[in-house]
Amino acid sequence: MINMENSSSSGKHAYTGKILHVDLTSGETHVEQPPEAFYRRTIGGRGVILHYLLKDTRAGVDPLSPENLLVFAPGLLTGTVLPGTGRHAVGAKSPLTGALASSEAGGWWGAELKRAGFDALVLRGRAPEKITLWIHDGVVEIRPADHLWGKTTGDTHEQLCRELGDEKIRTAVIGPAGENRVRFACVIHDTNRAAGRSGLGAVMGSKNLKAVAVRGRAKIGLADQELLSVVTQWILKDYKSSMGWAIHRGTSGSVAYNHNAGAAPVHNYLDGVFEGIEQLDGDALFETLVRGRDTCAHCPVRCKLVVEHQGEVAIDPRYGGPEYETIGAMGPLCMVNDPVAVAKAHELCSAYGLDTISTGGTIAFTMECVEKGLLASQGFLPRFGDGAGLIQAIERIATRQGIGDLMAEGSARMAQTLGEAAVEMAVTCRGQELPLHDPRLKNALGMGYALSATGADHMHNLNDTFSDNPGSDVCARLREMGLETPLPLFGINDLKIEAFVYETAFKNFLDSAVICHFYPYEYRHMVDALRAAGGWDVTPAEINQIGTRIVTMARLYLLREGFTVEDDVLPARAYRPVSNGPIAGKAMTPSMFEDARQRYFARMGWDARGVPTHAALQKLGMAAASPPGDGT
Amino acid sequence: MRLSQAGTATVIIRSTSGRGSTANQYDVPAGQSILDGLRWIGQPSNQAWVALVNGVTEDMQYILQPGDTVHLLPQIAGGYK
Repeated sequence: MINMENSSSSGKHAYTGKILHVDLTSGETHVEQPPEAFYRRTIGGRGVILHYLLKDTRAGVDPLSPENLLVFAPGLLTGTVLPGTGRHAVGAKSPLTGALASSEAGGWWGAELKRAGFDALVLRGRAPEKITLWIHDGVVEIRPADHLWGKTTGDTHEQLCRELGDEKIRTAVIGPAGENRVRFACVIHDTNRAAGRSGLGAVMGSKNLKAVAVRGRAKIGLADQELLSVVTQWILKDYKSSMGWAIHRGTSGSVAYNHNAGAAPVHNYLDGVFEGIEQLDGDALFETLVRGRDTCAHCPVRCKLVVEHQGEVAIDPRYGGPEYETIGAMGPLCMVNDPVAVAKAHELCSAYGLDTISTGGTIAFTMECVEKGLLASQGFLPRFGDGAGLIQAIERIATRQGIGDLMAEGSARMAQTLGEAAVEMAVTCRGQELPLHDPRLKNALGMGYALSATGADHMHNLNDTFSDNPGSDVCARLREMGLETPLPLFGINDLKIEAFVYETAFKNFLDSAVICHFYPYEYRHMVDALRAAGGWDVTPAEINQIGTRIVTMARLYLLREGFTVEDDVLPARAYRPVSNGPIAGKAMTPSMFEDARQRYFARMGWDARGVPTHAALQKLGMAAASPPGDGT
Repeated sequence: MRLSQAGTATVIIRSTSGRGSTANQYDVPAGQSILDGLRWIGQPSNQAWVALVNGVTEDMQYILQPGDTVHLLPQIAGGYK
């Protein structure tokens, strides 16, 4: 047990001024106290994750080796009363992509870590035995976890609550998938909040770390409480209207709309229409399965679903309910229109600790391999439309049984194993399965999939179906930056490149602050929020610069890890139109995409290979950074 | 704004809010963009939609043709102004 004295915030700003480092190999612990400039520059979240990955890991490190870091990073605003700030980020080098893993989770864990005294937790090494970490009010304990190994995330959380004698602890837990180093295993917080993408659960498992439990009672400070109240009141006076969709059905309410607009891929991207989609939409789920709602710290919206079902396929309400991405991945992508099977798939992914997007994408890929006869003699095999097979496939992936052992590697590695015919069926960027927003409809978002340092990701991205509507929050922010709106829906013209640059910077700022993307905050609100939290006289331009710097740090990390422009590509299916449905015949061509990518590089001040030039780095105050190659 | 006299398009606006889902139908003069058609209806431009024109997804700048049927499908991830 290590007692970190005097761990509470100074009260003058929203950061505690302390970052906790734990070497799991030796059990040694120390607290770093970065200067104020560190917080103003990185903000938290992804900014902090990239800071440590670039500084404290060597190029080419094996993501599942003790040398990889695992960073839990709330943001500057996490733990404050501003709605939407009940989030934190988790990061590492990804075992799925070999690139950046940086994923955010909602809930209370991040706020609790700050209340326990720390702005971030940086883990390195590998524990000699299976352990949990227990961090409470500045005290760090390493506890044995042999008895927890093999348990689901929900059972682990409940047992930790019992053992620690406190129902209010917050936990970050891996399930059997992380223990078995499934390459797309996730970290689950408090049973139902996932840092989902890129295999962070496998990194945690590789460190023999089952859980990190936190509890704290310190108050989060503020530089200007009144100013934060102004921003809070701005959102609270109108959120019932501006976020009415989230209040009504959460993201489950977008399932049928997205399908009917062509945004939701069907049959592993082979079809444009899926019969029975209405059975998976929020309206139907609320009649049949939804038993309640849930929310994150200081969020009045309550967009989360709680589903429950009794009968032959029972569904445990501890694990919440499926979001749009999960429904899209398990439903139309796998051609399963049984809502109970889809909700059960969600429950199992949360219980075992699996990313639902990559799980659904890998299963759909496998189903197509079965359909095409590429996996004829492997025992149990999942098939399109088979809900029971979907559920069985998830169990096999988590436990690496039978075909599940190969599937646990993700669809890109599976395709390499299965040969050339399978490669065209794997719908990934940098080896990560695409989210459920079809790049044949959303061209700029597709470009973002190819360019993202985390592999295909819809979060730190520009969403085309919002930027062509002048009333969206995206367009409001673009107008703040002086851009004309709205933008064209299809294609990627120069205005859209400009919008992409601004919006990806803003979203990376949000993922550092760490703030929910559903809230329609603009630069002016973030200016006030940073002034209130940090006491800094920031401007919209500085917020843009912070975000752009994080985008650039992520690019430098990619290049350092050996990625080149040859890896900034879209999968074959992104260029292959479907023949039916609302986007029949529509898709970018490879030359359209490559032209847009090169215009993006130029706009960022990067060379033709996507290497940031010294001039671009200097502009961001990053002159000391050394890009691989000779970006001049 | 000069509008086509040749006829109207049918515009069906679907909406999701905290109060539930609704669908309202309007006859809108052809010859104007979907966005202009929304202004013609008097619909405040404080939402984000995808336009489905005769079953095909189109840009909001698409010029309405006589006899078109347009479904405006809310984009519901992110906020509205």
